Amino acid sequence: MLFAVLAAAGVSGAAPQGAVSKKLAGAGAATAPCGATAGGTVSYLTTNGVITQVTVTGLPNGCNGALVSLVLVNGAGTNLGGGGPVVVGGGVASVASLSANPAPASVTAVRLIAIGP
Amino acid sequence: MMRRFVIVVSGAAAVVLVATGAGAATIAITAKSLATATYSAPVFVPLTLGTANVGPRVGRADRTDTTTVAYSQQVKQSTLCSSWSNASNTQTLGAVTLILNDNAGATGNDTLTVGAVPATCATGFHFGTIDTGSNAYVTTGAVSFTNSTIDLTQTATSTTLVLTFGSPGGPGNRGTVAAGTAAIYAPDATLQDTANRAIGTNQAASTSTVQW
Repeated sequence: MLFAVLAAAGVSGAAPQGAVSKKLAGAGAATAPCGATAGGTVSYLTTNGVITQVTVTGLPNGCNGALVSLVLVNGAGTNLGGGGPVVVGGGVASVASLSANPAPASVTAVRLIAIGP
Repeated sequence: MMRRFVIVVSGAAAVVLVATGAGAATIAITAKSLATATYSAPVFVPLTLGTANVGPRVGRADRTDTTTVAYSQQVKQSTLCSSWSNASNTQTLGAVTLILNDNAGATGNDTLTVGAVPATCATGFHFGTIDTGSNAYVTTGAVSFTNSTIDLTQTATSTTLVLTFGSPGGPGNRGTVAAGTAAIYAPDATLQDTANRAIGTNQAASTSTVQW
């Protein structure tokens, strides 16, 4: 076990609730990642000067089947747009529906979050 | 009713245990692992792809019709044509053969490539490939446009290429497309900008679904 949350709440069913955490304890370790995602490479599809699709290739095989979300950020770390989750297949995650379509020049980094598989 | 529950997360799975006075329920949470990464954003990319109908028929590749691509940085011109230099803000290459290749794209669409060029481009012209978004611009074989031209214009921060069709010839036949999909430009992977950054697998799509 890596960590545990103990909580008590006055709930009346199994639906998601606004549970109030009363105690948090654990070893502080994270769950195991699907692989070394730092080795991925980002590429764009642009349309009329703005980014309309973002693709990350070179993800580890262990990430196939994981759900990936991508966020485009500028130098200040501001979210300029993003999308997902999409399922990784063949080491590739491609997000074609972005919340906004920035120009490539305004983006300095692309952040990836992979959950699973 | 006051209920107590415990969330247990391990390297393999996360489980929520809900204990009540009458018994316990277990809810499985599917997330098993979490990974994050931050990548440097591509800098040198193709920004736009456009085509223009200049010749007599919309939707058909005619002599004088143009194809224009723009890049986000100054292209290192020698990576397009070995004899070109960035000392010049404009370049013109005549006696080029542009080729519409029949059904040569990954999904069976016709593609546009640069064929024969003058010897001044000793290793050829490293343009790349345009998937035209339709398989009907040419039929029964490729169409070669001899005496085509390529014009380059650069600013301090960008480069634009204009490809102009010359005279069409067989073995294939030209068709007229009334409805297609966006064209997609995949640059030659050897292209670099003046900071020696490779263009990689970045691509540009046209806004128009019918070309020329």
